[in-house]
Amino acid sequence: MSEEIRVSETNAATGETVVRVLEGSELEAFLADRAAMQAEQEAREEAAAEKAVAKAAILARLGLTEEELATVLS
Amino acid sequence: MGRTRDVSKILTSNTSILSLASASSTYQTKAAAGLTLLTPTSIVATGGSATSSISSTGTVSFTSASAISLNDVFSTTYDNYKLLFVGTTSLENTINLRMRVSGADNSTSNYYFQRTLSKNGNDVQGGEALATTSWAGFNTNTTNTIIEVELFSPFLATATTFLGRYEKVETLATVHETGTLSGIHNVASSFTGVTYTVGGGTITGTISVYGYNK
Repeated sequence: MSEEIRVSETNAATGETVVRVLEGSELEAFLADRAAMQAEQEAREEAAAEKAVAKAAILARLGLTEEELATVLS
Repeated sequence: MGRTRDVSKILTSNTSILSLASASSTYQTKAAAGLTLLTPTSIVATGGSATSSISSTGTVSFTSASAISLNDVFSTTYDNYKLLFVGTTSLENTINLRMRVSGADNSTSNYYFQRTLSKNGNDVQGGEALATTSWAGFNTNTTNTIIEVELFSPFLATATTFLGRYEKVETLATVHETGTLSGIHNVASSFTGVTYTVGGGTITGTISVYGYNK
């Protein structure tokens, strides 16, 4: 069973709110888009994690702590 | 004399005529300088249990939305805008911004941005994202997130650019993150609205859009 996604649109002038449920291709597009955004975010987090590992390795080679590096960069 | 009386009768009997007094109570006043809080024509909240509303002054409030869209808030009246978000997300996540026109998001791969952030005063990170489908990278949490975006030329038929920053504070002593972002939508398109969306979980908060008077 697919997830139910409701969309409510409120008109500023009238204050009227219309609620509908996403269906068919519109629902598929929403779910695909959300999955793509999540994938993009995971990719960014993965890249950041790899960078953090590389940074830690360099600091270890230099014999510096994060705090010492921050002091150097400040 | 008769003509004056006729005009007087028209003015007193026709209550739909706009006067200075009724205009000031009906329409927002354009400030001579500085910022003007704008009211979107409509808002769209997406999500299973999302609720949303527009205050009389224009600020948009919403709860539990996967995405919140503001329609027709950018126009020829202003070139540049300030967007303020105050709120939380149901999961520690990232809010993404998308430009919007004719009631639909622009989700083409034309969003470019870079970000630097610092956590707890000493963990500094940087990165960039090219040809993505939104301006992402506004990290959020479940306790306290603020996002400020300066948006340049969204309505003009030129590339849209932004400068942004966010702050998320969970507990002052333990988790404190500040990020600065900048980016471009590199297509010369005119946009009239914006969407705040999140890849997972939901967003709760308020959004205010101000126009910089030219």
